[in-house]
Amino acid sequence: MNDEIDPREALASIHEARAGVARSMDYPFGWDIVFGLLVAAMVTAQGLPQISIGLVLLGTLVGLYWMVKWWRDRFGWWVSAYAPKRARWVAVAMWPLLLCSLGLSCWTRLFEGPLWAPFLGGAVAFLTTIVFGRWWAQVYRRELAEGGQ
Amino acid sequence: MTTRPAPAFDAVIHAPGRLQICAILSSVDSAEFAMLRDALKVSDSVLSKHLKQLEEAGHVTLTKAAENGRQRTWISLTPSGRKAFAAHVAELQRLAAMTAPVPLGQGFSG
Repeated sequence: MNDEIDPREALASIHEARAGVARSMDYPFGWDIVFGLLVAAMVTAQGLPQISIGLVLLGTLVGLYWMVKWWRDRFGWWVSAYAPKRARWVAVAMWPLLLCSLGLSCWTRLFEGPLWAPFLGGAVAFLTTIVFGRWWAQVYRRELAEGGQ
Repeated sequence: MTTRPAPAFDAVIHAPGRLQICAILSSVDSAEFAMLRDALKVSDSVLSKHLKQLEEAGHVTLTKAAENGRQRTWISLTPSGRKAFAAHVAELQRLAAMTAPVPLGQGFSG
């Protein structure tokens, strides 16, 4: 095997390898919907009676486990939302909105807020997760295509 | 603020196959053996040899896990491997810039 390679060729092969990862990341919109539903369930549960919170959290953790397993089986790799340099900021930017939806949900249980608040919180969390999830994937793909680490 | 790594050539990483392995692993948290083999279009034994060299250099870690009734190997870059790869890429970029063709009108005018 010839180990002597031109720096440009070496950079091109790095670029190509990363672009291959980006190309392989073709996943159905259903993934975002399921993820959004799991996050929405977690958020909504905060406004429900104590007994429900534990059950819903347990259910969502099992759901998340199966989502990660599906991804790893399908693509043969895994990346956390916070690992890529640029895309991680999309994940960080999602948190204020998720915390607002969580606050809305907790309002009912902690301060006797209206009954609809946890469901509105869940809906906000659902939409936030889907929009930011798609945005994250777009930034991550671009980051790989441009050769970022 | 992120700091750029100091350029440093790494002979273990530089071999074409290992360069691509590190490029893929630097983009993800971990990748499965079969995924790397298919991406590089090499045999199991060739990939194993590359991974052994990277592992001996402390650049990657291999984790075996039983999934769906079969043994799977997951590979990830170690923190030092990630740093070494970033430094190697910086060195390649430095070398590529040194050998960059001079655009017309910016070289010696004679």
